[in-house]
Amino acid sequence: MLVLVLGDLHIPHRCNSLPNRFKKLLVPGKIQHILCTGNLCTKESFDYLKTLASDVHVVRGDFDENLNYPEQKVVTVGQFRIGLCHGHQVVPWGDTESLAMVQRQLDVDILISGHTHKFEAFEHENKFYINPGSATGAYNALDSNVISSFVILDIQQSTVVAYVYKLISDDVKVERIEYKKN
Amino acid sequence: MISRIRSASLKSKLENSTLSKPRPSKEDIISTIDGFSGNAENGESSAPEMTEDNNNLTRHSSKDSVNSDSWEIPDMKPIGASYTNTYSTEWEKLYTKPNYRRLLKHYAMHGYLRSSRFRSVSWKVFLEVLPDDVNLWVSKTREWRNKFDDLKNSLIVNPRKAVDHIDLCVNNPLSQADESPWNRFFQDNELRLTIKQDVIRTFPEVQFFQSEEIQERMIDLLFILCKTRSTISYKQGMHELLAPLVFVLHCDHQAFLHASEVESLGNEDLPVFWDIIKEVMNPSYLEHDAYAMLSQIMETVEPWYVSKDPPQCRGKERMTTAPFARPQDLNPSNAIVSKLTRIQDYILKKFDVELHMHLDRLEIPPQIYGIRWIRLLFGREFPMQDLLVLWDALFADGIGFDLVDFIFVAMLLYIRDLLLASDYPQCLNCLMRYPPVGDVHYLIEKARYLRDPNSHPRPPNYTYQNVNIVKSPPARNKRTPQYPKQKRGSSASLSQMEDGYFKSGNSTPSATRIETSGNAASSMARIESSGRRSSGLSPNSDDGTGSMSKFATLPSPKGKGKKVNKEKEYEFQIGILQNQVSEKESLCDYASQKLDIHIDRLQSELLQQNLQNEDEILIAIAGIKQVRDLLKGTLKFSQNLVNDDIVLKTSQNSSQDSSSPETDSPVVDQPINQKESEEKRPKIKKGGKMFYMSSEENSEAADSPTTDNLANSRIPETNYELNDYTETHKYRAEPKINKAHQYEGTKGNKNNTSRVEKVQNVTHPPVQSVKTEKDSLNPFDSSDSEEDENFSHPLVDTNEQNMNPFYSDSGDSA
Repeated sequence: MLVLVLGDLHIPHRCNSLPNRFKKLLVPGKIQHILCTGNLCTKESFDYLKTLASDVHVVRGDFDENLNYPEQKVVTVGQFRIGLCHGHQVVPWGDTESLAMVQRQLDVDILISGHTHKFEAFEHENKFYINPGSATGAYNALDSNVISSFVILDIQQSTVVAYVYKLISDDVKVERIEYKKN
Repeated sequence: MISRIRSASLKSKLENSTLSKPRPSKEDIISTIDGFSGNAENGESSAPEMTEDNNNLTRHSSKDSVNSDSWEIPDMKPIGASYTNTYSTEWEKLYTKPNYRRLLKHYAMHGYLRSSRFRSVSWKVFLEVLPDDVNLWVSKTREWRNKFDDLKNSLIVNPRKAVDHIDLCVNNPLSQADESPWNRFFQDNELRLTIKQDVIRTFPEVQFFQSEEIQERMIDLLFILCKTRSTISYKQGMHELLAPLVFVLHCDHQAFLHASEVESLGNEDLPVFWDIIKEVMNPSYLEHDAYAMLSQIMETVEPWYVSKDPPQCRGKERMTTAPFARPQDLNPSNAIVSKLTRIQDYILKKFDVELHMHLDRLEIPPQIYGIRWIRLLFGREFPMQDLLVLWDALFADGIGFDLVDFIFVAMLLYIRDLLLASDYPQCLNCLMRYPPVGDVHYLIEKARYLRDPNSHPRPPNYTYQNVNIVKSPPARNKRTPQYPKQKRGSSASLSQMEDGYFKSGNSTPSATRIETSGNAASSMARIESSGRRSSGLSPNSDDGTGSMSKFATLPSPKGKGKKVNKEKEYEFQIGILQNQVSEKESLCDYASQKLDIHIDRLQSELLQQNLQNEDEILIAIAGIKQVRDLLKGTLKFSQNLVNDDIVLKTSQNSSQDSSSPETDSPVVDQPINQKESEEKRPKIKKGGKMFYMSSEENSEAADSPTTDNLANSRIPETNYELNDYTETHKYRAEPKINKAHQYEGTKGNKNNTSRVEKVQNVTHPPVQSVKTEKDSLNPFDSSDSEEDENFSHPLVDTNEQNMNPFYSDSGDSA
């Protein structure tokens, strides 16, 4: 089962759209679920995601127009409980210990957060943490050099394979990270 | 739901009946024929048999040689029907004979594989999945299975397993490169989804196909098949071909598992071929074996699945196509359409022009229903068990499936009456939802006969009988009074059609067969209707043929009427009764019309001539008019009329006592009419029956409803012919009538007397009265049947008998 994880689009405030290379990759019919860490900003971006897969989960970022998105959300895919949180509430931003607190609070196997616009995926205390970065490569409060990236999770029984798509000098690079639930 | 259950129970009943059904005549013939050929072959192959002793066949060949004269005859019994047959003996019977293939074909053709536990093996032999030589079976089976495994490994892609050796840029879920396993995976998934949509709907009534595991296997199998046959890819319908194969394999595997438990426990020394059985029947290779069979089937069937859509023609292009061209002619490149057109335009036309014309007139091209029939090898038209029997024959006939065309025609012929009697929507409905067939084996026999009439016995002509048609409202029957008769007529005309249209001889083989069964059938009908049926003189004989053909069309030992549950039986009986009533009505109409015409003629004739006892004749005519009114229905029939007659009789009896016995013969005319008028009276039944029997004896062709049909469809014409006939007949009958008239002359008032006499007869129907009647009629009758073919028909016949005395009377007086 394929799950698309992305966030921090900031369209139209900081970027006009997804990179074309990414748009070509993202076609309907392959992805079953979309988990978005927020900061889509406009409804149009949400509608675009809806065209890729019918099941879209969004949490609220600090720039989202739609205030009805929840702050945090837990989605169960296969055997995995996946927690979703934008991350601007978690200080210091992107800090492992702070994120671990959220993970314990939500009691999830995988915690997905954003806001830092920097891809990160690591295992901490047997839990999996993913930060898909910014899909559009929008600038950050602290950093204007951002690499566009998103993540596809291939979830099979007790294994998650994360495929990381990064746009480096107009070329899509793919990394593969495997996480096994014990 | 209920209907499904009902049909299921019906099916099982039918199965039982077919299993237990004795087929003495056909079996005897076939067994003797086969015995001859078997002897010949045995004689030739005695030497190889001896050499085969070395090939572990010692036991069976020695057994063969012991009863080599009759070795096939015990095998004629349906296999597996008896439970004394152990698993391995069945195998022995089927596959260890030196020329087992021929035997196997024979079994398949005659439905003896119906309960075989090796049907899948037989099919494999027929489909050339397994070679002729049994000893090669193991290796060949393994070969097929390995092939399937290879295909499966190479064609079914799992992108998650091929991780390590391919570049991540290609091997990732979103990759759109052609070589990406993920990309192939997604593309395949679309195809699998289409297949799945069909597979999950396969035989929803069979629980076996609802299991996830079987469905998954079928999807895999079909997917591999489509991948290997890229020209057609997947087409709807393939799953329907696969399903019975899987089903049969599964059943055989279950039987094997059971047998291996039982037999391995029972005796340690398993037969030598047990290893072959074990290998061939290995349950873990269900899909492998199914694939082998299906791919062999597809070799033949594939062209039927290729469909090129006709080029989109609009405007100008449309104008260029030939005017009056039928849709099936427009697109000749399509194999299935040309095949269907050939079936309908050549084969069907050859055997049944009427039906061909009918379908042509209704503009029902064969592809509307035929594509499904042929592509699925009739998979949707029959219940599973019947289908398997049909496939036995289809496969046994040869890998080319030539029999398909003829089964197609046989199926059409089976429902021809239904089709001929219905309009466009009804026809379509009937073709799209083929009515249940009592004995599917009949279709096989019929198809074989159609293909090769010389070497196969002609099966009796069964046709589907639809009760619903008969149940149609009476108003409709009135509008087309000959409707039910047309139905009857056509069913019998089928037999004639195949005998070379209307042969002049009145005893074709089929006619005699129907005749012999006719007595029993008609009496059966009588019992069923249990006296509620009205019967008269001429209508009875007419009705006799009606019920005759009606019952002759049902497979007699396993007729549907016995199998269906009560409700259906009642419906059926109601249908029959209604049919009879409507027949009676139309008959009454006809009779009254004829009476009318002839009374007019009589009167006009009388007016011109001055006769001495004119009054007498006029009174007689008045009486006849009364009868006519009764028949027409303008005069209500009541007991009063009978009472009047009796009173009349008693008043006159005293004076006419002495003359009454003699009056019987000359004035027979009136009693007959009287009788006809009193059809509705149940008391008369016995006498009527008697007459029916005698009339059948008299007129041999009484059971040919075609003439009946003809006579009905053109009443005015027959009228004319009748008149003509009587003109000529007058002179011949004159002398006899003269004599009769002399009596009449001497005995004044006897017209009335004789009628009254008859009434008496009627109230206590004695056999003698009928006999005298018959005797008196005989002179005319015998000459009648020789004179004109028209009079072979009971209705016309009796009418003529009725009318004759009138004419001869008038002629005489002239």
